[in-house]
Amino acid sequence: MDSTTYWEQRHNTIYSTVGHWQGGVDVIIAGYSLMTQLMPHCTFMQVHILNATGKLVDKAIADWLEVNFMGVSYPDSRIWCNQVSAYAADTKATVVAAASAAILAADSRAYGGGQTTRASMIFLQQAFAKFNKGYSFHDIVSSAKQVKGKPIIVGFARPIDRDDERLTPYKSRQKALGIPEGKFVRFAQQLSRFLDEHYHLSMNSGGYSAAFLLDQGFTPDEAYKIKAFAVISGAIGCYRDVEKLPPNSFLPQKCCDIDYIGRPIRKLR
Amino acid sequence: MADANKKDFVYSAKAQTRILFEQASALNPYVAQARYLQGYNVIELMQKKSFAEVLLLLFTGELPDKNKAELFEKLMIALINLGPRHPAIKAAMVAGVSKANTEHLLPIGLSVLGGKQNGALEVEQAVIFFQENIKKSPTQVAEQLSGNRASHTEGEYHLCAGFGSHYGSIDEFSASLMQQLISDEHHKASFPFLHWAKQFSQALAPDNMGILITGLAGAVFCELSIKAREAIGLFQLICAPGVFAHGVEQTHKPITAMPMLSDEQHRYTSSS
Repeated sequence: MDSTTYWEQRHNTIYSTVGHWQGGVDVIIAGYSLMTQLMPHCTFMQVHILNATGKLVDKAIADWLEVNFMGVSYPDSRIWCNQVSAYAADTKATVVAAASAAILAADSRAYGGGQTTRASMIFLQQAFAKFNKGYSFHDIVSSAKQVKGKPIIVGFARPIDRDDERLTPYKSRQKALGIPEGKFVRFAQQLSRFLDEHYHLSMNSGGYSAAFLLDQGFTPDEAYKIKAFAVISGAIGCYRDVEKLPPNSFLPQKCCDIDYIGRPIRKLR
Repeated sequence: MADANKKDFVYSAKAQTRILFEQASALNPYVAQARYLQGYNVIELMQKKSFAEVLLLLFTGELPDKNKAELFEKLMIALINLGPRHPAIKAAMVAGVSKANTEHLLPIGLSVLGGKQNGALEVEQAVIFFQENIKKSPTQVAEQLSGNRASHTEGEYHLCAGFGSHYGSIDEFSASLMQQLISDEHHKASFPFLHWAKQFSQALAPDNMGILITGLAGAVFCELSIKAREAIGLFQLICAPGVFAHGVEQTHKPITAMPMLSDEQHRYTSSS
């Protein structure tokens, strides 16, 4: 017989380092009692971050992340993930199917706050390390992928508009919550000024959020987990907008609205 | 975990299935040496049967006769691509162009395709509708349902699952597909559900309604003895190629390759 020891140890057995439900008694999350420690004293966002990272952060940090979630969850169905949710409403799929589909749609390298934050954090970590070794902003930016003479740096350009309306509330809320500006946010702002001056690019919500999360000691992978469902609220809003309409009401298209550029009509041989 | 004195659910020690038997390896009980699908060796099925035949075997438990296999094959072709204007495909396309992970495109489209109108849940209800009405006169059922119709309905209207208007008109393409499936009965097989659907559509035609793609799928699934709940996923499954093809096509294009409506084109009116 082949050795199956590894699987025998796990056969009908789950090993967890995250949490445990003791039915009728309590739930333990990363060593904390949900009933007696977390529920009485913590916010949902604190518990979510605890589940996502194993770290119980101060309420102020969790509160700022709630603001960040608001900033990536606009109820405007022109935004791609919300458009998906609205299509789900058009077919009368359930709101949960719509929300799930929207979350999957926002798992994108272009927008959505999850992957983009992770990518931006990785870039900022590497760029900050180079900066501390004496590299100039010009050196750092030149090493990034370039398209049409402009650097492609996640978190420092928006796919739609250049100016990001979210940075002002992010900064003011951070100040109001008593969270000091950390080294990564300061570095990101310096980089943004350089990019603005030379390329007419500047920091966006993802860039600020990435720098903020690095300042709070999160890793890029932890941030990706924290923000896994960040777009859900706006997506549900866009579902609500369409759900009561008859089918094929949301952005109806004529046949000619699709520009067919394939092979011409031909006969089977 | 639970108090032993309390009544609790009685959970089975093992999961059960009638679908597939895995014969364990003599060397490692975690490894299968053979698989039997509804009793047939999968390798033998590979050698002697088509994908469509095995798919029906999977869901009905029996291999179909030639007529049913051909009918299913034709339905699979009919539904292979619902077109780039179907909401499920539009969802996959917009996700593709906006750089969602490629592996998400199909689940995104299929989630949208799971809906109660123009989606898989409508197919389920269409199967139930056919099962409940197949012995009734299609004309009488049409009269009864039309009589119950609300006097003023705006937009697309589905009189019952699988039948109604499509952008305010008869769905000409679905009607053509139905006609083709019926006329393809070269073996003189009688497809009672399809014939019923055709007569029902004719009765609805004066009101600018007829069979929809979901109704067509429902009728064929009834012919194939596919149950209502099984029809949900089977519909999604056979529509899946078109969903993914259109979605992944867009991933090769820049994010600007699909329209982004301007502020003027997105009109907000406060409900308060």
